Amino acid sequence: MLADIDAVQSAFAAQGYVADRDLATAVFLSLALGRPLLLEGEAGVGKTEVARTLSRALGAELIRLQCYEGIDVNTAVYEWDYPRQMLEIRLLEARGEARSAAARDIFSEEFLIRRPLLQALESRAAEPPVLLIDEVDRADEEFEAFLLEILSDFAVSIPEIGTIRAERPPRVILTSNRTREVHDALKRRCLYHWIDYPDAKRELAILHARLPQVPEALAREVVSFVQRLRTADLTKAPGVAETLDWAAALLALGAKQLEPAQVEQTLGVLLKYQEDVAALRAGGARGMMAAVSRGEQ
Amino acid sequence: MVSGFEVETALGPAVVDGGVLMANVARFGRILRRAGLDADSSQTAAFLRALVLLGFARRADVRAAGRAIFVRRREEIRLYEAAFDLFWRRRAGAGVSSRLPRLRQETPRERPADPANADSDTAGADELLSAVRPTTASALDELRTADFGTLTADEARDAQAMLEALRPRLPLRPARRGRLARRGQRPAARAMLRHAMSTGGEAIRWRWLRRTRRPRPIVLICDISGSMERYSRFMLRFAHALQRSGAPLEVFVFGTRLTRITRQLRTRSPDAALRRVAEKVVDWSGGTRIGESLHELNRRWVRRTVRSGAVVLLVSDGWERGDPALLAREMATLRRSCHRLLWIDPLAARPGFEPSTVGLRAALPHVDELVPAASVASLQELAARLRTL
Repeated sequence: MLADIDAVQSAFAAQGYVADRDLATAVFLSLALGRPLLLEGEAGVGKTEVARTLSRALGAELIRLQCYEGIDVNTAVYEWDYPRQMLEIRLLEARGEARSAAARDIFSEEFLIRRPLLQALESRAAEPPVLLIDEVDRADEEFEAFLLEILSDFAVSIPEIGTIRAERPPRVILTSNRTREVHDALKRRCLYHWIDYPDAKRELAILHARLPQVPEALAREVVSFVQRLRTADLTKAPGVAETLDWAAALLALGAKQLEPAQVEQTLGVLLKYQEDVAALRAGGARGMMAAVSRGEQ
Repeated sequence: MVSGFEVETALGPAVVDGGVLMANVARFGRILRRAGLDADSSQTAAFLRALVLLGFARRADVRAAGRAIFVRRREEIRLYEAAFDLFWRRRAGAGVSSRLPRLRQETPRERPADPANADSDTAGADELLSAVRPTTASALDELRTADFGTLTADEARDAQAMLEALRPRLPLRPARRGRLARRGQRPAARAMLRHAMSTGGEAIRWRWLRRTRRPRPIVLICDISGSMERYSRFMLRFAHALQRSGAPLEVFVFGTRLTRITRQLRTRSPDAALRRVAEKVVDWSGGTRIGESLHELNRRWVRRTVRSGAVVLLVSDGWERGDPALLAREMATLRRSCHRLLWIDPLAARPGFEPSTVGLRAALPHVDELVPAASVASLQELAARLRTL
């Protein structure tokens, strides 16, 4: 279906995701070569959205595994339903049934809780699912080593049941915010793409695609303001997600164009650190506003 | 294996000699390795498959495909681009810099991402289809091992880009807290009890705590006096690479006085970080008072920042204007309050080196190791060796 780079680009555009050609190339190759795609970039540049868009474009199910510190096999792959197994044992005891039968029965698929990775491997859908492993940098290194195993074989062994292998491997997208470096062995499995902040032209296209109801003049000013903001010395520069939130907020306030008062009221949507908001209130915002209204680049 | 197959080129479909293509892709892999990326055979194989899929009609696509396959970290993007240009350009010439295209110094955000322009030279892809002069790759090797003091401005920029892609293997120390695991060294009593609740008070499955390790703190103290001028900025790039790798890092610089620049370095872009350092430091390229600077470190900072498990890297050529006896005393104090103390000396890399500077002679008895470091290669080696300290 997504037979070349152009097809990927236009399929993404149809889903409202404005992908540059480099990203489309990486996605295309990931599909064509059957390799996971590792996306890195600042928060809010649309890494997770790539997986969502891809699943919609392919008409495939999206299975998401959110990583966090301390995530382990029990929460990522499978777990036995211990309470139900206990109840089952008590029940068998009460009925006075033979113990030998019990051990086998309570470790059957009926008592297996399927977590995202197992779901992705077991899927029998016509279109293999898109597996999103989100913020892999937050998981511990041991879990990465485990992921590496799964991503090379697309199979998992459950001692009591046996090996479960994917009929057709899921399309895998990993994202990382770079709070730490992802291990090399895992990266070696993957294709890599760094998603940068978009330039003004592409950000405007994104804004149009996502919020078509924003008036043209306001959209231009919003993008110009945010682009300028990203060059300032801030603790955390606003991402595309913040641009969209901000435009939506201004729209809700009935803005037709940027007004200093409204900008100050809504700064909290763009900037998430008190120091940044304070620095901008202290004068930066007005200067930027002036530059935006003069139409400087 | 492959003798010939049809691909799309700028001039329409063409049959390609598979052997030549494969040899050239392998050569491209070698160039990438020389540049400091670790391109392995599975990646070159993937690139070959990508080329067959994409054809050669659009050079920008080939470039992007290679980027997706060979690059694994943002810092490597510049190196990849340079190596790609190097491979495609096939320029003849003498000297290191003439053979190595200058890496762009703008931040990637400002990268001239002009697809129209990039696509205009579509015919360039035929380098992959014809034999290529085999000498170009050695230029990168020359640059890698060249003394920082001998580099031209352009070469210095390329060397800095190489340092940016540095991947230090951080030193580790045992951590106090264990981690729950199926196997381990100590039984995890609390976790076991908690789980026993669900089985009517019987601990059916044993739980264990496994030993864990954390990165050791690193303290880098860099001499920025006049005699170190040609080396200190590379050392600060090195410090920034350490910072990005996630080590708990403290960085100080000194000439006649000590300045803590840890906060200034905590910016993702090394260029921006070094700009902020330059704004903060007042004694660039002046005289040297190592002893007094270390005294300041020992008195004001050691307990707050060095901590007993730290690896301390002191970068200096040992040209000391102050009292060598004070330097020796302060070195002894510093040595007692850290895990390892390394003296990193750019002069020590020169052939026939003798520890002749006053400062180094005074400090040497208190140093765990004297490390020569005056080139990209030597810093790469140091970064790879940190774990064994």
